[in-house]
Amino acid sequence: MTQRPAPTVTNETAEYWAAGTRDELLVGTCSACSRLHHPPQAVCPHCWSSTTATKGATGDGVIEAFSVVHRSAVPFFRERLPYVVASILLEEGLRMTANVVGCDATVVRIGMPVRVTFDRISDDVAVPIFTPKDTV
Amino acid sequence: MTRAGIVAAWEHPARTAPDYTALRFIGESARGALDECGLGPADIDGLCVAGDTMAAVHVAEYLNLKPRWLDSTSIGGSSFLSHIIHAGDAIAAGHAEAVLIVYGSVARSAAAALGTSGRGQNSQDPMGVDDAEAFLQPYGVVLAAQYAMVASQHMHRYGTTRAQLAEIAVTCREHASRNPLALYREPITIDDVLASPPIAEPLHRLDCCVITDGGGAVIVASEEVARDLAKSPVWVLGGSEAVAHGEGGYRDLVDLAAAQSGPRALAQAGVTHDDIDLCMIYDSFTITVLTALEGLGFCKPGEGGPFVEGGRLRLDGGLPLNPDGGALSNHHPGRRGIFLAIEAVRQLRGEGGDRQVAGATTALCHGVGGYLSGRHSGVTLVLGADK
Repeated sequence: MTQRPAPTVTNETAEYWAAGTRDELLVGTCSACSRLHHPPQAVCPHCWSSTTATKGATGDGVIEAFSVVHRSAVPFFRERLPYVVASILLEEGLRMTANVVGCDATVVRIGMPVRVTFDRISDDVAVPIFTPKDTV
Repeated sequence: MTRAGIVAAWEHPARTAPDYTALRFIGESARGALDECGLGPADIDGLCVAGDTMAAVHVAEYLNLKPRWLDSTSIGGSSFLSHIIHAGDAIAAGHAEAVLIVYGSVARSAAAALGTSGRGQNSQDPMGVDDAEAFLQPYGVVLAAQYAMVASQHMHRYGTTRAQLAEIAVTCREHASRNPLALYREPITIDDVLASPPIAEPLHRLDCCVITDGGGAVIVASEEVARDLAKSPVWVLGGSEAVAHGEGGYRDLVDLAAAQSGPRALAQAGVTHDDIDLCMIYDSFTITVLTALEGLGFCKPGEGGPFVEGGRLRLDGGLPLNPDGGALSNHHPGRRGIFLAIEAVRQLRGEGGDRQVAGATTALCHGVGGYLSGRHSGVTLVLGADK
């Protein structure tokens, strides 16, 4: 069984990947300027203050752009061709890149509502990915 | 000429910080320097970072800076003194007004972390600043997908079609057919591009550049030296650098570095778009060219599709593109920027042979490095020959 490539974890990002193990998608906050940022950093990208923290995002968003990838040298992705890479616009107004899973690549559309889920890689790391939100 | 002075010189008080990253030291030091002199992040328009590939782009992203002047001179411990010299020159020449030179390292803690796994530092490079790559690593975000996502958004927002992107590939192949050194010279059609295998949709194989081996060199000399030499010099009329990135999660995908560097380069050179006789635009992928043409201001955002139709980019068209055949058909050993300049010089000297753009005296080169949908650099250079 192949494993999803693990992210390189740093002191600044360990909390983000660990939050995934609790099904939490974190965004960065700043008490100096009140703006959000993603991915979370120790220093706020907007005002360079060190007064940053994190909060859980709702996990809801829409697909803003995507690509269906047909070639990979990585075993995990080679087994899952074609796979979807997307830019997700989170409800909080922030963008992040992730895979969209749980549906055929051919039905993925810009504007499709998605919800976060997590792929657990280790005790300390779970990677946020997105699936189509169930429609009523 | 403007004199340049050091206005902030701030030292982080730490000596042992096992919870830090190099980036955190950089960010806190940058904040310390601002606090010392009273400038704000928005006042900084130049950035110097010594490190590995793309280090300056990574730091620009971490600090959400969009500098118009960059220096990545990385020559060991002396680098930062070099940065100060270069920054002074840049300010004197009017390329920047306030340059941030930053450094951060976790050499002590990284050494202590050797042999550990899981949480903690990547002990490979205590000065490493490419931490943000981790947010792409788990997702199989191949380079083509980074560019494809821009195409995806562009097509959705503006109605740009695959056939319009294909015009760029067909044009470069037509030009390559006139270049005896080009890797691929057999003409292709729009249908050939559309039918080529998908790589990262909407980009198909013929939307993507070739991979070659190769090398090149350029010498830039003073006017005094240049006047004594056999060939007429091609003058560096102006240029500008720029960085685009995630902007803390807020960047619009089709907002590219070209939109920053293009207008600045033309203004510095004192030329308009109409003065440009040919353009050498980094064609890693067809979408790179289409969006660059918009960003550089040859057409409005969203009008790139119609702009590249009707033969405009051909040698006898309104804006000849990549007469050598580009990365798409001629040559791309990984980083193609030097060949943009080499072909532009060739054309401006009238040495273009079968692919000569008639009467060319002014050329624009635009290079792109990195991920178009994320952090990337854009550099625009305007060259001119004496008429």
